[in-house]
Parts: sequence; structure tokens; C-alpha cells
Amino acid sequence: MKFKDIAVFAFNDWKKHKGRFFITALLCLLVATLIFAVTYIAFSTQATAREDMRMYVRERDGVVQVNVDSIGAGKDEEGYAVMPAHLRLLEERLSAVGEVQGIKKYETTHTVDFAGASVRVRAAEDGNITVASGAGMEEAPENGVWISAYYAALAEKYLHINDMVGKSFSALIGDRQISFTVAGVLAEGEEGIYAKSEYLYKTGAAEIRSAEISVKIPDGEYSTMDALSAAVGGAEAEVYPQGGAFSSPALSRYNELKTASALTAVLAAAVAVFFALLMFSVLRNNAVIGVYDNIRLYALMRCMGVKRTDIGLMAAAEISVCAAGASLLAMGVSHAFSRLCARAASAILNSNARVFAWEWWVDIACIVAFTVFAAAYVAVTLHKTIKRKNLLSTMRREV
Amino acid sequence: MIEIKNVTKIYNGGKAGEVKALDNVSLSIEDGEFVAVTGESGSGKSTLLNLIGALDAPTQGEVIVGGRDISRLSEEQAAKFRRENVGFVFQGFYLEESFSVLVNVEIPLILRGAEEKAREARAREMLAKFDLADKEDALPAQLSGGQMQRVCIARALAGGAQLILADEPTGNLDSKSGSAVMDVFRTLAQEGVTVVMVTHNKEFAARCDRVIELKDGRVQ
Repeated sequence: MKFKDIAVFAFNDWKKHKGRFFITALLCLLVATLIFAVTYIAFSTQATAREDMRMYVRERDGVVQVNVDSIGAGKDEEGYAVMPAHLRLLEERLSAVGEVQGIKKYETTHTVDFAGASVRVRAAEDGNITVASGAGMEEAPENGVWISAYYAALAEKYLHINDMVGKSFSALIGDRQISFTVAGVLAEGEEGIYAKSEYLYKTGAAEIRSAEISVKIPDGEYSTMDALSAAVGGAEAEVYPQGGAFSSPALSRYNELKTASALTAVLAAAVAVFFALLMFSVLRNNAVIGVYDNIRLYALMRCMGVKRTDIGLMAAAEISVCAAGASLLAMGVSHAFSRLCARAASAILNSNARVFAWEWWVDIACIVAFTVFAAAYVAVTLHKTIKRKNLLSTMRREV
Repeated sequence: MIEIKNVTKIYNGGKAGEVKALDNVSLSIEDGEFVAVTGESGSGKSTLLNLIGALDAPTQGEVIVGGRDISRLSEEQAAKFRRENVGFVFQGFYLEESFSVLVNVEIPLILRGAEEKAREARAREMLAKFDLADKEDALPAQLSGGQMQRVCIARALAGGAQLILADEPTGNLDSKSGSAVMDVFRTLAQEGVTVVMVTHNKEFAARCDRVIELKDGRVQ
């Protein structure tokens, strides 16, 4: 048969068997609607997640927190926390993403056993280490400490050390024995031991328990959040390879949204495929509904000398009209339920944001894919059925 | 003339469900002969009809129809052969319920791209031949079983077939209607049309020129 003859016959067959094709189209409509619905929910979930992130950042005036936790992490080669350097690195990385507005540190201090007496490293009331400045402080050796005149006097009195400056001692700091050199003596009346902050941290006399860095980022776009995530992740990988020390509520929300929307997309794709297969299974297995009922005519046509390929083309053309028309209508129906899709997306993400999203090219792709799949499936199935050995017996038995 | 030479047909060859439907069958049928093929279910009757109608090819042997070996035709050649030479008549009629009687008879002509006027004329000619002229606008559901089978025969012949392959054509009919169909076949045979009819009905088989009985894929 010529293509024109096939088309004409298919058209006439379609017209004559409106009932059969209507049922097929109805089935296609139901399934296509479900496919479009899950597709739109998947897209809306993505869009809602982005909007949620933007809202999150907007609500905080663009300022997000990055937390640093030193517990069980961030030790140097000697086993001590070296937090200030880490904080500086993180601050530097975050500066590339936004403006670092402040760093809040939560510190703890230890008792120092020095010159026979337990003394506490001076700390301000807010918990921040205060290091007294004094002449020569900056030039003091790395492990240099300053002592107050009071302790210098005690040392002189009981240890008979007249000039402590420049002398090296051992002291117990926390549970560690360290050596240091007295860099100088502070003014009379001031109590305590003083050291360069870096040295305090290195020796463990002081520790930063945790810190919060506030960064003002330009917006809550995924690109910005990606940059923030890369900055934090990069710094963490560098100083805390074992991970788990840096965290950010904003990044947590960002990752949560991304994961939920990605899972929704995967699930939607699986559901769409399932529905499509279900429909074709129904069409294939139930010989009394829809286009498959037409197989009697197709088998008869083969007996009348029409090639299987031509019959397949005819069936494909006929089912295409059902599938394309139905999926076009399904697209419209699904659009009408846009609010419902947005609400579903919002519920999935547990978000206050609610966005309905779609892409025209996805609609076109869905319609084409559904139609081609339906046509190919029916044509191939039909091709196999009417090819079956002993067609006459098959017709008698099944058709 | 139809010649079946040493034909063997095996389904699912070499597989677990291998079935030898025909086993080295040889026979010949003259032009204008009215032949009944009988046998129990699974004896190979339908397989024989499939092979003569070029719906399938033998595993071994030759099927020669009108001097032409049809056992090794391509799909396209086989389709052309059926279109030009063979008309099928089925137990279940297979009339399109939503088509009128006239359109049902026209189907083979539509499929070969005949002009509307020409095919309507030919269909009417066929319907008149089988006393169905007044039924051309009726739907199949409005006909009796015997009338439906006559429409089926008219459809089989509309394309000019000289070979009718009838698969249990009286199976769904009462004895009176069945007998009328047998009369139609007899008339056709007298006009030179070869009729090969598969039947379980011994009475109708006895009215044919010859009975070919198959058992376990062999001619008895």
C-alpha cells in the first residue's frame, strides 16, 4: 500500500471506530494527565525550593551564619587546637562570597601551674581572651610569656630568682608540661600571666570552643549558595579533613531543599514511567478495550494481503491521534490544577514558598514522547501478534 | 492447481515447545476442486491452510500454487500473492461491526486502492451474486449467521480471488444456514474457484469433491 492509502484507510478506520478510539484516548488522557501532573509537581518543587532559599536569605537581610565547632576536631600536630588560623582561613574564603560582618568566639581557658602556684590565664568577662600589651610583647619569643610583678616577687622571694626575664621554665598547662621563657614583667599590681594570644592557643592555655561568622551574601540564589557551600566546604577540607566542624543553617536548608527536590524529580520520573507502562499493559492485555480491539481488523487485513509493516504504520497512525490529542488535553487539564501542583511542592519541601513551574519544551517533549512511545508500543505489539505462527488459529482463539 | 510436496512444518524448532504440525505431507488440489480438510484438533488443518495462503512458510518442502512456489516468498511477495489470489472465510466471520455490509465487502478493494465507484460497483455485484443486494446498507449485527457468512464469502471474492480458504465456515451456523453456505461453495467451485475448507462436520465434508483427513500432521 502507498503511504497515502495507509493514511486514508487509517483515517476512515478511525472515523468508523470512534468508540474504540475514544476509549483508547480516554485511557491515554488519564495516564497523560497523571504524567503531566507529576512532571509539573517535580518542576514546581524545584522552583519552590529556589524561592524558599531566596526567602530564607531575604528574611535574614542577607546575613547567614557559619558555625565552627572545635570539639574533637581542629587539632594541630601536637594535638592542640589552632582555631585562630582556621578562623582566619574561613573568613578569607567567605570574603570571596560576601562581606564578613563579624566573628563571635566562645572560648575556654585553663589554669596554669606556674612557679609553684596555680594561676588562671587572664580572661575577660565575656569569655574572650584578653592579652595585655606591654613593651616588648610583640618582640617576645614565640613561646614567651609575661608575668605580673606579684609573681615575679614571689619567685624572687621563694625561688631566689632575681631576674626572671629571659629565663626558661617548665610549667604544667592543663595536662601538658611545656617550656617557656619569661619575656618580661608587667607593672606591679596586675595579676596573672600574659602571653601572645597565638601562644596561648598553641599551648592550650586557651581554646576557642566554637565560633560564629556572620556573612552578608548578595542573595539566596543557588549560584550564591553554591559559592558559599564551596567556600565553607573548601576551608573545612583544608583544616578539618575529617569534616563535621563547619556548619551553617543556611547551607543545611539549602542542601535539604536540593535533596528533597532532586528526590521528587526522580520519584516523579519513576511514577511517570510506571503509569505509562501500566497503560500500555492494559492496552496490550485487554483485547476488548480501546485500539487493541481493532486487532481483529488488522489480522483480517493481513489475510487480505496487507503487509505487516503497513498494518503497523496504520495502527501507529491511529494510536498517535489518540495519544497526541489526549496528551495535549492532559497538558491543559494539568495546567488548570497549577495551584494544586504548587501546594504539593510546598508540602513536599515543608516550605512557605509556593511556586507553580513548567517549561514549554517539557510539554512538547512529553507529548511527543508519549505519542511516539504509544505508537511504537502498539505497532510493535501488533506486529508480533499478527506475525504469530498459525495466524488462523490465533485469530480463532484470541481475535 | 495446488501442489504440496513433502511439506513439514515445525513450530518452535529446536526449542522446548517444539511441535511438528505437518509431517512430510504431499497432496495436490485441482483448480475448481472443492476439498474438505478434516481431522482432530491439532492435526495440522489450520497449519495447512496457513501454508496454502502464504501466511506462513514450511520448514521443509514446497507449496506450489498456480505453478508458483510460494514457500519462500518475502513478506511483501506473500502479501501480494494473498491480495491477488486468495480469499479467506472464517468461522467467526470477522465482519467489521461498525461498517455497513457494502463497506465490509469493499475492504479488500479499499486496501488495494481501487476507485470508490469501481469498488462500490464490484461490492454490489458480489452482494447480488449472493442474494444480499437488499442488505448493503445493513450492519452485520442486523444479519443472520448464514447471511453474515455469505457477506464474508462475497468479501473474499471481491478482489477476484480464485482460491477460497475457509476455516470452519459452518462452525457458527445452524445446519440449514451451513447447508446454504455449502451450496454457495459448490456453485463457486463449478465456476472454477478452488475451495479448501477446514471442517469438523462430516456431513458437510461428505458434500465436497474430496476429503483430506489429517492425523498427527500426516495425511491419512
